This record gives sequence, structure tokens and C-alpha cells, in this order.
Amino acid sequence: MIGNDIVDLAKADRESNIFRLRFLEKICSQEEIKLILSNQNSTHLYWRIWSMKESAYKAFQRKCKFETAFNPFAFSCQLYDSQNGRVCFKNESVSVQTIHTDEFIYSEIKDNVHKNCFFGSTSDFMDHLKDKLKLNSIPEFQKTKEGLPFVNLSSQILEVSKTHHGNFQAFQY
Amino acid sequence: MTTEAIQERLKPIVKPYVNNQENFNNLTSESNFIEDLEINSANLVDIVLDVEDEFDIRIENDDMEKMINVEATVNVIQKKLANK
Repeated sequence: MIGNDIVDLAKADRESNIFRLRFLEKICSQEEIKLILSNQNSTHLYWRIWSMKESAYKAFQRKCKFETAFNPFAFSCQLYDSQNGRVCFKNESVSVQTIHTDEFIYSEIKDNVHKNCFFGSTSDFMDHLKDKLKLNSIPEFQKTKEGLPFVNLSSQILEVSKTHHGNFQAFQY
Repeated sequence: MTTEAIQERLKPIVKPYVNNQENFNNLTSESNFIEDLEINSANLVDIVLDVEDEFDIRIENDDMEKMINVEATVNVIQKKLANK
């Protein structure tokens, strides 16, 4: 499965206040809220949990083809250590890995097929693919009618998950 | 409150999070927050909370789930106002 999500922490701090009344209850379970509020850095833990849920949402939307919905509470997170965790949705679950820097938090579904990650603009990503896969021309970044990104490599279709927030953008492929 | 009146009050709530100004200027009931207005999904909760404050209503998860475009959001607000 494939799905990723990035949070620009400076932008998130400017735009959202997780301590606002009823904020956490809209997104998180009571267990998740307890973890967040008991953590030294509640805001960063919230954004980690958010990015895990969002990555899983993208993965399950691609797999189950459900209609767009704003249902973060349907995805529940378990945290194993500072990087690894699991997100449950209905009767299924996915492993998610999260990278945390001073500037951003990035989560990605752990998958044996889609192991690669690229940080940068879409055109830089296309240049990167051309070099890496030794293509004759720069491939085109496209979206299915459901809005799912992919790259057409003439010989095959490369599934891609794209995430962008503030100053940061990343691709899983 | 009429659909039009609710939509007018919704516009300034959504505006700060919009990344596609052109689609916002041509807002219709079908405008999708994510696809058309290019609002980041991380901000949808801010919009839901701002809607709750502006209209003095409380939105449960079942209704929040639908709030991804103008029409669905206006419908949720209208239903909540009718039940007040």
C-alpha cells in the first residue's frame, strides 16, 4: 500500500492551535488525546498522529476506492517507538514510519513495493526518475480521475503518493 | 437561514485556508475544499471549529465526515440551526 503525509511545523503552528477547545476531540480518540497531552511536546505528537492517520487515509482510499470524507477519527494510531507505529481502519491495519526534524514531520506507509521517497518539487522528482530509471525523456506526472497520482513510464505505470504542506513536498513511489 | 445566507457567512471562514484564489472567487455550492480550493486537509478541523463558533452549533463526527465541499457544509449547518 502507498500513502504519505508531510507537515510543515512552522506553518502548522501559525494556522492551528491544538489546545483550542474541542480541537483534539475532532481528530483523535481518547487514548490518543491522553498520549498527546502527557507528552513533553504535545503539538509535535499531535502532528505525528495526524500525519499517520492521513497517510493511512490515502492508502486505504486507494485500496478501497471510498469517496472523499473527513473522518480522521475512523483511523486509530498505536505508537511503538519514536518512529514506528500502526494505524487501524475498520478490520485492517498498516505500519507507518515517521521522520521527525525541527522543521517537518513526515509519515509514510511501510510497504515492500513502494520503498522509495523523494523530497522536492514535482519537476525535480521527474528529473530524478529520468536519471534513476535511465529514461529517454522526462516522464509526466498525472492523476487518475479519482485524483490519485501516478507517473506514466510508457513501459509501466508507477504509483505515486504525493504530499505538500507549506515549504515541504515529498513523494513515495 | 437561507442557503445563500449561510454560504455568504461560510466564505470568510474558509478564506484564510484557501490556496486557489481563482476558484475561491468563483465559488459555487459544488466547490470542493480540497480539490478546488486546495485547502490542506490539516486545516479542515480549523474550518469545522470556526463554523461551530460562527453559527453557535456543535458538529458530531457523522456530520463532520461530509464537510468536504460547500454544499454539504451548508446542509450540515442548516440542519443544526433547524434543530436548535
